[in-house]
Amino acid sequence: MEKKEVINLLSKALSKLKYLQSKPYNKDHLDEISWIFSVFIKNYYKVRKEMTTDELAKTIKKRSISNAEKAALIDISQKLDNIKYQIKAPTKAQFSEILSTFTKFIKIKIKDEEEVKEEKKTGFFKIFGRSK
Amino acid sequence: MAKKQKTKPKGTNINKYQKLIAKIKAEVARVVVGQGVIVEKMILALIANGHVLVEGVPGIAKSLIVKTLAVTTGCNQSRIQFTVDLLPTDIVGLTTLAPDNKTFQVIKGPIFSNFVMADEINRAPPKTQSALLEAMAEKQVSIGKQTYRLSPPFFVMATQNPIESTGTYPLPEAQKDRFLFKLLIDYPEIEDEEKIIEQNIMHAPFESYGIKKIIGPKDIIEMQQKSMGIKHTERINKYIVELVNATRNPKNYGIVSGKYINLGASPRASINLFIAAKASAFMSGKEFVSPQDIKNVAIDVLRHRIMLGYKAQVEKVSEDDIIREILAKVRVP
Repeated sequence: MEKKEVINLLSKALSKLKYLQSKPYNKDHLDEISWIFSVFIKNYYKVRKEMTTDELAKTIKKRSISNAEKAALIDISQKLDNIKYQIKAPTKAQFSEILSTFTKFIKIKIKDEEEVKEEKKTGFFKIFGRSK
Repeated sequence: MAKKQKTKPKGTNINKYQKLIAKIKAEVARVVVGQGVIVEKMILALIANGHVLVEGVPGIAKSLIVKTLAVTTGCNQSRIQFTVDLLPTDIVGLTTLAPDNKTFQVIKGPIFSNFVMADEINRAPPKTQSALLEAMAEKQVSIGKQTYRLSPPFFVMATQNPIESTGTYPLPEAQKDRFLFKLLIDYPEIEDEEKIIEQNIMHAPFESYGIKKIIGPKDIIEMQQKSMGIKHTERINKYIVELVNATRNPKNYGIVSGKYINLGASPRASINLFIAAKASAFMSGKEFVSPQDIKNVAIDVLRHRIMLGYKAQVEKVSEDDIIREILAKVRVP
């Protein structure tokens, strides 16, 4: 996936999450967050299968991403599990917590990606005049 | 770093049961080497109140697992060797005339045990097989005009040898459906086999291992009830139904290997998937069922419930391959 496409994907996810944040609390929004998370995982981490939290943990364990990022992903996935599969309806507080955690994560990813993009423009390969 | 959240139950004793299950596994492992996964799945089937069909070559400790499990759980056990001349009465028992007082007396067969090992079930003719399978479904047997309830827990482990097919009567699909799990037992790992030689059960009698009773039949019944009480949401039900439906309509889910399926799984598969997933959640100490619990049991629950065509055999595609694709493609709710 091109860097531009990656940032586009992240921006779309962020705008959807912001839209949910702006709306009054609705328990059906849980499905939407879950769907955004699933689409994000599949596209950003190039995973081609439907995964549970345990499978996600196993998959990202092998990836060269920071431990903090791995932990944050598992945290979001577990929080989603805890409110999706429990018999009790999620509270407004639970819903807000997961929404803000996920939004924060996406914002950090956008910042990271933009920094990488910036580095590429002025980095090693640019100086020596050849592309990667 | 985010803290891993555990979903421990509140107000239940699942933790207590987890400890007991761990003790049972450890006790069984003193005799049975290298079959930990199978032992765990058998305990899961027992907690789910289901029966197990085991396929594997001879000599890989199938009988020993049942025998040891029976001792550790304080249950009685019997073994029936299925042969071509085995009669239904050899399983359930019969009514006979007592010569002394000239009254009819009932002699109960080996089915009247908590754990029944039906060895090489496909060697007996269908009439005899069905006597066992009826008892498994109804948890009762009829001898003469009397019906007798089988005392719980009632757990059947039937075995099949995948190699020899001459002189066998393969179980019909409808009969296989009665088993909660079909388990495939493979040879142990090389290191485990070395250990097996060291502590060869043939050197010393089984009793000399001093296998301890960890729990009693009442505890198993209690665990079965607690397991059924594990919570589940509509999302879980929907996911189960979608998975089973994918075996019937694979095209709708983009399952490429679905073209090899001749007949998909029945609604009984959905029920069994549901029950087994609850037992899986119970064994993991969770208070609710998650899709991971379904994925944990899906292959063992579904592999004997889908029928493949001849093309699958030619192209060496197994039921497990197809179920794996289904699990990878059906959306986790």
